[in-house]
Amino acid sequence: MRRIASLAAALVVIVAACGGDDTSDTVTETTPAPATTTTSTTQAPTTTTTEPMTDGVTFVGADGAETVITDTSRIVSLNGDITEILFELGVGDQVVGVDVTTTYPPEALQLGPPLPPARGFLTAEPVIALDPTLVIGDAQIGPAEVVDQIRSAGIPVALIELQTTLEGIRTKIETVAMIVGEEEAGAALADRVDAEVAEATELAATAAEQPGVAFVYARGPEALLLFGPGSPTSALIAGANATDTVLGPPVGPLTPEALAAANPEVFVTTADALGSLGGPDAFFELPGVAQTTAGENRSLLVYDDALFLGFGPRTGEALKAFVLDLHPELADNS
Amino acid sequence: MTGERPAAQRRRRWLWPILIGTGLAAVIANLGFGAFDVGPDRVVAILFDHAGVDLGIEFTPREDAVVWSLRLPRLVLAFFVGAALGGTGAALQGLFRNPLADPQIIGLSGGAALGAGVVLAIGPGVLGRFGGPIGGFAGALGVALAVYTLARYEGRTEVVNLVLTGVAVSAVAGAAIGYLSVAVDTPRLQTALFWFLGSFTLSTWESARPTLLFVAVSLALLPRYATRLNLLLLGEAEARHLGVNVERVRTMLLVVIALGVGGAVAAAGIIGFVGLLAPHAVRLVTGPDHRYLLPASAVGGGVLVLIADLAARTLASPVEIPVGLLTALVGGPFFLWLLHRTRAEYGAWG
Repeated sequence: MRRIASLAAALVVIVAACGGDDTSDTVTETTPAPATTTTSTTQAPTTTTTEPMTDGVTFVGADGAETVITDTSRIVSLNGDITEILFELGVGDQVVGVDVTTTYPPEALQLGPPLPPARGFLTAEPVIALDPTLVIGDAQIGPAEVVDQIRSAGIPVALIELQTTLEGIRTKIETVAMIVGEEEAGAALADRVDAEVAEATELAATAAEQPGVAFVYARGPEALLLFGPGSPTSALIAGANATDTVLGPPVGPLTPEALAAANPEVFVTTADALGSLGGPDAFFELPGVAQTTAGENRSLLVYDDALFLGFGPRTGEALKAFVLDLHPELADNS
Repeated sequence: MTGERPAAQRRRRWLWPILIGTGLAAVIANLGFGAFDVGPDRVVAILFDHAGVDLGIEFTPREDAVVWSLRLPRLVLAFFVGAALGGTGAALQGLFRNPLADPQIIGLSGGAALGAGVVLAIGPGVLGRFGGPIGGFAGALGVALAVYTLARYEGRTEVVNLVLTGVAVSAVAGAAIGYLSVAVDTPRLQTALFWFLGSFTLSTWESARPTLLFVAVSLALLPRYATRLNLLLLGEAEARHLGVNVERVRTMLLVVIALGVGGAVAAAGIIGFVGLLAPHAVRLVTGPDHRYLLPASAVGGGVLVLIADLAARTLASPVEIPVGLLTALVGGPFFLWLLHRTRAEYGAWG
């Protein structure tokens, strides 16, 4: 038995030796995750710094990792809004894989089965199997270990800051454009989106009343959320010249108490969220909903998930539709 | 032992070739198969290439990265976690003189998960990556001592007491982890469900290294107790007469077991029933002698978890199944059968 014990000891040494190979990585890897969540929620004006290089782009991501991008011929996008931006920038033919949050444009859906949901359950191998030269996602992509695993296969992973304001869309578009080397197209796209958003907000500003609005999100009846001030939807509500009546955190649980405190005149949600609940009737039967003004009037606006929550190229379009739904009297002026 | 039947020795001769053969096959399959397929010939070529031997088989840098940087840490971690569970399972069964003792069933894994979870929730601070395994060790040791005290009656642990104590401890630990995952905004705890079910998805060398250390120490120390565990099988009073310091052996062994279980759970979550399946399968070949049983159960547990993780990665590819679900699927029915047999042997509960 002593022989087996020494065999086990030898194995241990081998393992330690294997592990020793990449001790140098330890320093860079211990810094990322926690810091980014704070920067993204406090919305500091983007912390990404960039400097063009002769042989590629160096990008410091939302996770603090420095990524050198030299080849954008095979791109995997881990967020639907980033996919939309890539296609608008004219590099859609370089996109070889998207995740399940991508629902637009139709060409992106022809790329084969989408990757598993990015948030929480992303795994490395399906991404690597697409043989990408670049993976782009936002700061919420994780777990951090999976991002490390993809990088350990020699694939650059660029994680961009979350944007929760209408002004932030320009930053997001310009960051993606810089990463794929399409700065000019990026500036033009950002100008277009800004102009469309400005047109919608100016139209909304002529409205006489500011209806009280609450945005509800759901992934099934057990996972009900109420988005409040600081969330992207709150920015849309403000842009549409309405009042976000939710008092709570940017993302909080939907409880009868919170609904009673908000008492909106209009509920807003997305098609997928409503579908996960089982339709409008199921929504109005949720505890506390019927007791609000919006519940009594059965006032509920439903939008496409990627269109409304994406904060990308189509946000101007989404905002205009939202403005006209909230202020129908403006339809003649537009 | 000298008075052993030759048949047992003959059977034992086949044990290591079978274990090592199955293990090597599992290694090649684990490194080759997945959402990104690498042929077995290229897997072997990549391994030899890192040992400085060129076999003349072509492989791409990406295949090398997937096999060497992505799958190898996962494979090594899975083997050692399995070895920890198999080895400690065999030791627990001997220590408690109870065939149903298993790190998960008697609540050690739950305690370890809670300990590691608490450390992650409050932040490991200066402990760094060692925080999880240290928390896991503390949790497992606390539960081990509590269970040992609560479940013993007249020098023997009663089957029902032992299992029910484990149920209660696991329930409390599960509830506490559930609370942590709701109350604390830590990315790792948000994937608590996945972790709680047991998974190697997040394995990197960085996350694996502290666990490997804990498990290696535990596995290196376990065989030292083999002879004393053999004497304990005769009964505590008998062992004492034969010169075994029973109290001391028990305490030390529980510490060694908690090291292994705490390290394993901190890295991979709760992977159930390995500590039952591996020792009972091995015991069919080795008999009850702990000098053979402990190392063989450890290697057997490692191989078992390698096979389970291969299934976890490939059955529903590209989605991964938590490996703990698969071991429970096989181990649950086996546990029921064992429960039934144990009851028949003891005549009645207790």
